[in-house]
Amino acid sequence: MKIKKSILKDLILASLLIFISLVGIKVFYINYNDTLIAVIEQNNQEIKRVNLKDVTKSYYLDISSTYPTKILVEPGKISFYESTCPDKVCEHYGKLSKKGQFAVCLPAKVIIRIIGKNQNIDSITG
Amino acid sequence: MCFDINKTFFKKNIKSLLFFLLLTLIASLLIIARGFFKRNISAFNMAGTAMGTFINQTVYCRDPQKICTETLNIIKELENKISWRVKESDIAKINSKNQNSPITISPETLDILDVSIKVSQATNSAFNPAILPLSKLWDFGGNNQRVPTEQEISNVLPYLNIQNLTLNKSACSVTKKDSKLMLDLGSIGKGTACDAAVNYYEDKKINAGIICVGGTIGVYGHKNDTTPWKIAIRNPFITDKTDVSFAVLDIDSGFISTSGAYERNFTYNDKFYHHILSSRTGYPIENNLASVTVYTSNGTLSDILSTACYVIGPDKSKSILKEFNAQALFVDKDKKVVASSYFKDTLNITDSSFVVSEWI
Repeated sequence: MKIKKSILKDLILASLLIFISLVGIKVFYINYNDTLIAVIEQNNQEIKRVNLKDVTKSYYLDISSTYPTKILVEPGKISFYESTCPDKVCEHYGKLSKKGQFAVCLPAKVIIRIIGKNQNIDSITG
Repeated sequence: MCFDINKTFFKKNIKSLLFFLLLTLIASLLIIARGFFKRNISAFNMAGTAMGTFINQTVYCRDPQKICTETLNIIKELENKISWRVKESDIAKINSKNQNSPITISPETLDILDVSIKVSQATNSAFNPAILPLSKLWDFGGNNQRVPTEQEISNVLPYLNIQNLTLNKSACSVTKKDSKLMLDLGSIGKGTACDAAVNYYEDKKINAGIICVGGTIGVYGHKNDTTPWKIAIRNPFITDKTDVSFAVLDIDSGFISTSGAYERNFTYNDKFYHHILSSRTGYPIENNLASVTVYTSNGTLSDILSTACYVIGPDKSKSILKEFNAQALFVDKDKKVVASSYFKDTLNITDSSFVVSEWI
């Protein structure tokens, strides 16, 4: 009886260790995906990249262009705040906060997008 | 004493113990491997601009950079065929020529004009491709954006008659019965671009792809796990407090286009003007709709119908949607949603302030 119990304990311990390492790998992946990166592009070139999860205080980004534009960066959110462009469509995209979302100021040729795959949405209509 | 007995037992049963441990190891490796295999072809995303708008592609295939770059080139070539702003385009050619002489154009442009005229006739010009003389006056989104005078508007209204354009399919040409007839395909170019992209994805036999051209969306194939494509519908009443979308639609294939007053508009002297114009009055359509979303199997048609259905409203749209085999979602200014019953199982309203008031 004594002998069988201790073998059983070894087996349980081994299985438990394997299980814990599996959970560890899963948790690692979740943490690795826990960034919210906003990419700002002008003329199809990336000009800035911000991890919105690292933002603690809101601030503005001034983008120079034929139509100067102001972008508002907040904890977990990014948006076009103000633009000198004629149609002001960019100001009405709302605050971007999820992967896959984007906002565009065509006259200024500026695109803001949050990269990474959104598990819930593949695209959004205009 | 115990120690010795343990050793002996261990030696005797080492085979079964190792076997058990091996099983556990294999099981754990399979669980990890399953996680990796699920992403065997991962998504590749590329954004860019063409056709005067924003283009976003997500493809699942080998050599995704090449596929996306070539798709953008195809769309740029398309723009050179159908944009009235491009001097050598088919449309600019038609616009500059006089009446009664046949104008040869590309088959693609002819197809677009054919379906445009069909819908225009079926909806009494609710959608009107011959709208350039009017749209040029307003210049929505351009540097000369303004409210035209009543005189300017009444001057151009007689020239907006699409019946003055006849098509000759066998000769691949069109003839104008009125020199002043001028076409503007601005409201449908995005759908046509989506058609071209999805055709290319199909040609190249990629696994799956989704393209968004200025808000019109086309999908091809199925992603790794064969779940439907989830398309969010933009909230027409976005504020700092709301989410950017109010619903999600599941689709397996096809194209989705939305028309709304919120897309292009300006306010002048406290009055709100949006870009969906009436060919009859020359002024923006005034009704209770905030947006109309159309789903169908052709991109050009989805764009045309979203404009047409916005103009005629849900009741009159029922027969048009049936005729052209399309489905739609209407959102009014009170956040009431009228939706095709086709969407009953695939429409998920994510903002509870929007309510489906009628299935059609």
